[in-house]
Amino acid sequence: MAPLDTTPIPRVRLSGVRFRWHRRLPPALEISELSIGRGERLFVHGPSGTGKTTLLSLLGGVVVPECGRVEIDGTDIARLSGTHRDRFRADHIGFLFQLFNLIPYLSAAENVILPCQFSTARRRKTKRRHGTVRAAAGALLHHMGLDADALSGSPVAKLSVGQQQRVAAARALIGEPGLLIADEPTSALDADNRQAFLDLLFREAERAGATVMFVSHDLSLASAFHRALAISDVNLVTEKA
Amino acid sequence: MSLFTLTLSIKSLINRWVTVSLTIATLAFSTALLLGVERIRVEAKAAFADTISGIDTIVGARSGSVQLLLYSVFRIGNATNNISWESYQDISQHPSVAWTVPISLGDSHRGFRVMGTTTEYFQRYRFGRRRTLDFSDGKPFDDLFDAVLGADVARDLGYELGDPIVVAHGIGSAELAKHDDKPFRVVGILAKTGTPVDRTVHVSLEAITAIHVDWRSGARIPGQSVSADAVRKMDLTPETVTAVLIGLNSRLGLFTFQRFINEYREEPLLAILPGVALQELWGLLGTAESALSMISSFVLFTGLLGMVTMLLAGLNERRREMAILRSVGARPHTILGLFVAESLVITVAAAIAGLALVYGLLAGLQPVIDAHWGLFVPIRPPSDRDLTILILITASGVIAGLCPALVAYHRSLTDGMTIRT
Ligand SMILES: Nc1ncnc2c1ncn2[C@@H]1O[C@H](COP(=O)(O)OP(=O)(O)OP(=O)(O)O)[C@@H](O)[C@H]1O
Ligand SMILES: [Mg+2]
Repeated sequence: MAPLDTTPIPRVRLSGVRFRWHRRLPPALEISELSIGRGERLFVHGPSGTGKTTLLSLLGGVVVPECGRVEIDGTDIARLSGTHRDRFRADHIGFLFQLFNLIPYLSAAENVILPCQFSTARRRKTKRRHGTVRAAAGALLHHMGLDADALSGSPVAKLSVGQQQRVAAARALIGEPGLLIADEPTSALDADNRQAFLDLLFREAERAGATVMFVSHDLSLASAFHRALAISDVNLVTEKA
Repeated sequence: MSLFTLTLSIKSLINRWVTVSLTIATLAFSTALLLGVERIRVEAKAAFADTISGIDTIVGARSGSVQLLLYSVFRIGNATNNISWESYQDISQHPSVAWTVPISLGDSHRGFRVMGTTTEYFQRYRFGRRRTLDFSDGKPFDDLFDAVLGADVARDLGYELGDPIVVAHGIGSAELAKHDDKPFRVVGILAKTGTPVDRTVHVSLEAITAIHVDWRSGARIPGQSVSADAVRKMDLTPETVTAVLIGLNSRLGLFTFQRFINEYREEPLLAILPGVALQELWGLLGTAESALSMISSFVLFTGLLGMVTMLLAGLNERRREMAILRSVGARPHTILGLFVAESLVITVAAAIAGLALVYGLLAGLQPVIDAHWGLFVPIRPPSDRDLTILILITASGVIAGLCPALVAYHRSLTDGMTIRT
């Protein structure tokens, strides 16, 4: 396990956050304080409907809280304009979902380089390291145990679920974003694949220097992380419920 | 909208090529319909206008001006009355008149109208941009029973110089009564003009008199038969003509001449200005014309509705796609742009396909339209009007496409990271 980074500014810091999906709905999330360190691998678990995905949406800047701060690398993304938040997400965050992570009409490599289309910072970083974004996609897919050339012929929808998740992981990590957000990416995989996928993900996240925020129902995975967190420990809304 | 958005939208469309190509086909057909109707309309008007160039005025028995124009120039319908030869003489001696060409209609040959006239017709008649009639073969009629054929008559019936022709009485296709005792001989074939001249058999006025000497009110006078040779010795000055095509010395003389005709005492006459009568005709046909344009527009509207339906129906299954794009950094505007780009690509493809279809159909149907309606539709590059129509179609496609685009935009703002299917 890699040692924890102890720089003063944490990767993620939420304070006094309250969020509701709709004005007339009760809050879905209330967090008084949550920090995640650089390079930390955090495991988040909890029952369905308790706000795990909502938390990830907030961190991704796809939605904004009605009050509180959502800081990533010291920037309060809740205060950014919509455009800047979208750019911030593109530059700093890689996303990984449960299933069907890929754009069906793009090849595996094209899917991997998507973030570079929206983030100049990640495109530059990728080019500095690999020369071209294509080469970077090939290298990342290779690291994930896939052969970009062999995959180029068939549509991504024809790939196995495990292969699709590995392509998605490569996409989330291209251009070395500081934060990898994963929402139950292993729940569709069988036990063997799950562990192998997690190992690959960690290795590449470490190579990119990314903090990992991982949501899952599967507590057996928790031991591979630096820290495990029940959403109910931080979300005041579920405490009340 | 960036190049990337455009590429992405094209790839997405290719991915759904079955529904997309059906949508494009629907829109292409309606585009072709719209352009085709417009093309025919413009060409028909141009062809009609081309037919009457060089004639200042037409005089006939008093009836509707459109009716007179139609039967005298376009061989459509019939004259209700003729003009007496004396009246014709008076008209031709009016000081404003430069030349006159009398015509006499009423007989036919195998579906084509037979027109009696003078040889001056071949010199005076103008079509298109003041082009004169050319003989592709032979010469004007000279002998009493000579006939000059329009290009289509010769082509359709396979006539050559020297062939005999029998004229039928009346213009029905049944040809119950034939002037078979006085056959004509083909002495000239005119070059193609794209006007009703192509579908006319021309003979001399005297010949029309000659074949009717032993006829009264549409039937042979029993027991009285004049042979073709005997008729040559008779005075064949016509008693009546159907109409007179007239050239004036100066356009300034037009109104005095018109007043002279309208106040003519011997019989009721009518002088029309072909251009004005044609406008009147278009006025009559205006309702039908706008109905046709309306129908084409509705067809286009249906096509656009189909496109919006397709894009809206695709929205739900593409919700995930949008969330993925958002997660990798796409702005809501990118999502909007993606959908607008899709409708833009669809309508531009449809516009191009529609244009190609029009030209394909035109090339294929040109001879058919020509043979059936005598309307020669030339293949010209798209007119400004065509381009305007195409731009309007594309613009309305993009506007229609804004509807699904805005729905996608709105959803991309509210969905969050929750991927819904
Ligand atoms: N886009 C949305 N619009 C409105 N309400 C939402 C939306 N996404 C989630 N919610 C609501 O917010 C609450 C928390 O949902 P969330 O998806 O965060 O739960 P979760 O912990 O991720 O559950 P699961 O384990 O089933 O994924 C639920 O009540 C849910 O209905
Ligand atoms: Mg969830």
